[in-house]
Amino acid sequence: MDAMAWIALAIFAITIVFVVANVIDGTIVALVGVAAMIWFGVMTEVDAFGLVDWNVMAILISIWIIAGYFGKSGVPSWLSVQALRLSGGHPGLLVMILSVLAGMISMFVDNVVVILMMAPVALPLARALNLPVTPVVLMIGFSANFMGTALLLGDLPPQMLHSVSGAEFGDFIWQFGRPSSFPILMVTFAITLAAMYAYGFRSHRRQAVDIGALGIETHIPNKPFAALVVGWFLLTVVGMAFREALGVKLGFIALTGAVSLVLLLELLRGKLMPPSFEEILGELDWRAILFYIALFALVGALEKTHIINHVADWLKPLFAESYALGATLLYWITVPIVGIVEHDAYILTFLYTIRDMQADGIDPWPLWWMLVWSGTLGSNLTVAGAPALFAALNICEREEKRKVSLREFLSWSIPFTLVAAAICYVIGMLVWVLPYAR
Amino acid sequence: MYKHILIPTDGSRASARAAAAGVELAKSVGAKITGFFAAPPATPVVFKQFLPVGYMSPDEHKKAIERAAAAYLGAIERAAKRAGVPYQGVQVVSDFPAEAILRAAAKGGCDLVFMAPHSRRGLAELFVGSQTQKVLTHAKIPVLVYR
Repeated sequence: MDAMAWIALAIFAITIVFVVANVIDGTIVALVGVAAMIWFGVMTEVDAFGLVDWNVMAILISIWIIAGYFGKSGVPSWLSVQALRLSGGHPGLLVMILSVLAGMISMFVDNVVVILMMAPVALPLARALNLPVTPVVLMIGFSANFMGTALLLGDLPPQMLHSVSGAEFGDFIWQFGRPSSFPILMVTFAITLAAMYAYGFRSHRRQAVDIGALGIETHIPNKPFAALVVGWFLLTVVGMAFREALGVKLGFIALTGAVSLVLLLELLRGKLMPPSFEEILGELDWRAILFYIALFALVGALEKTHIINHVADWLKPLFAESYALGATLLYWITVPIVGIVEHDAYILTFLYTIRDMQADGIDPWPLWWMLVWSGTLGSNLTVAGAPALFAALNICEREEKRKVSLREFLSWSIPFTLVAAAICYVIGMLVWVLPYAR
Repeated sequence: MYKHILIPTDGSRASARAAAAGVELAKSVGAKITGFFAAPPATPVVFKQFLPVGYMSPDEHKKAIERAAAAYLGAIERAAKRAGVPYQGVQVVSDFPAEAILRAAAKGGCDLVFMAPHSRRGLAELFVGSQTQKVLTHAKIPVLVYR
């Protein structure tokens, strides 16, 4: 490695340490890291701009805009009330239904947005059924984080996979004649929820509940607005599913969906009375957006200086010797690491590493899937692993007016993570790795 | 002198001895007592200090914690009744007893915290620290540690 590569590696390592330490805001640290890369000559400012995958950023921002309107449509609240009706007053069943709801929504909507949407409705439901708040909100958080990787839209890791590998929307459902992310994670999710029900929720007794007394909206207050938002959301998703036929980038499709929705809502403002576009824009997580932009530039700098090539060369013999062992090590080393450090940087770095190994005949797809799944499932381990869990924890502490200790958090996160990771590993190995290993 | 004494308990022998002495002090100065217990959250995993030592459904765990709380606070209540000292019991859920003690003292308008010197031993004390030490460090009212 030449001197510039060492400088890039040092700046990257220091940046990640400071991001993890959380002494200074991670976004500021990441941006300073990019600036340092430029000032030390690792890359130019034009390079830095070019290394960002603006297609992924467009997907992210556009879907967040649509999700912002969705969150204000009353649909999440209505769905949660239906969940209570469906549960028949069984607290444990309610938690499972809310978890499924969070998981399903998070396939299309950012995890933090899902938690912020669902927690205000879940809290009165939990109180009505005498459920302790913390496990309910944490289950929503775990489920939102978990299912974000099932489809292309729900989270950054699948979008990074699209960026690095070119994976299309349909590839997340079925690829190369075998089930991929969506079906595998659905099965894993179902088994994990069953295990968590048995672990912590089956003993709660059924309660009689007066839904009207809960103080939450049981009807969708503005049906035309909700119908338009949900319909436009689905149309955008369908558009993204047919990207290849449309012949444009996914980000452009998402942007078209978002911008056209905003236009429609503004034109129909008198009839639909939507929230203002300024309000929606103001609620976007700009810190996260800037962080992800910086992340692409930082990891791109490692690529530019061939550090990732070196890592790939170092790892290649392991996968060439035993593909199954390599995939196993990749999976189970990833789970604890992403549980304690912010997982997007790790996943992006190794997505590029696996891509570089492809040049030497190592099949990338099973490894890409195992990386993305373990990187997402493992991030449920601690609050440090995923910002969505940080949001969930804040809600728990604010609601219960007490701090949630690490041991209390781990008593829920460890079983969830271990069961999910184990099930997904077995399915992933059987469906993806072992057939390729032969 | 003191009008309202907070006596925390965790069910240990040290805190039981401290509670008995605290009741005597309250009787001698004409103070009322608040017995206080910071109950751990009722997780499926049962912890002893930091170590997971067993599994219990959250419902059963909650009942076990409530029985323990009733026993610990009940002991202080009975001592207070025998001594003719006005008493109330407070129980909160918290994995951070020192903070909970200080919050309860402030909320209740207590002017003295009367507590045992330690409850955790060994590794737990090493990693988590003595709750008494934390109360002593951060209290804004007098703290009497009974040995």
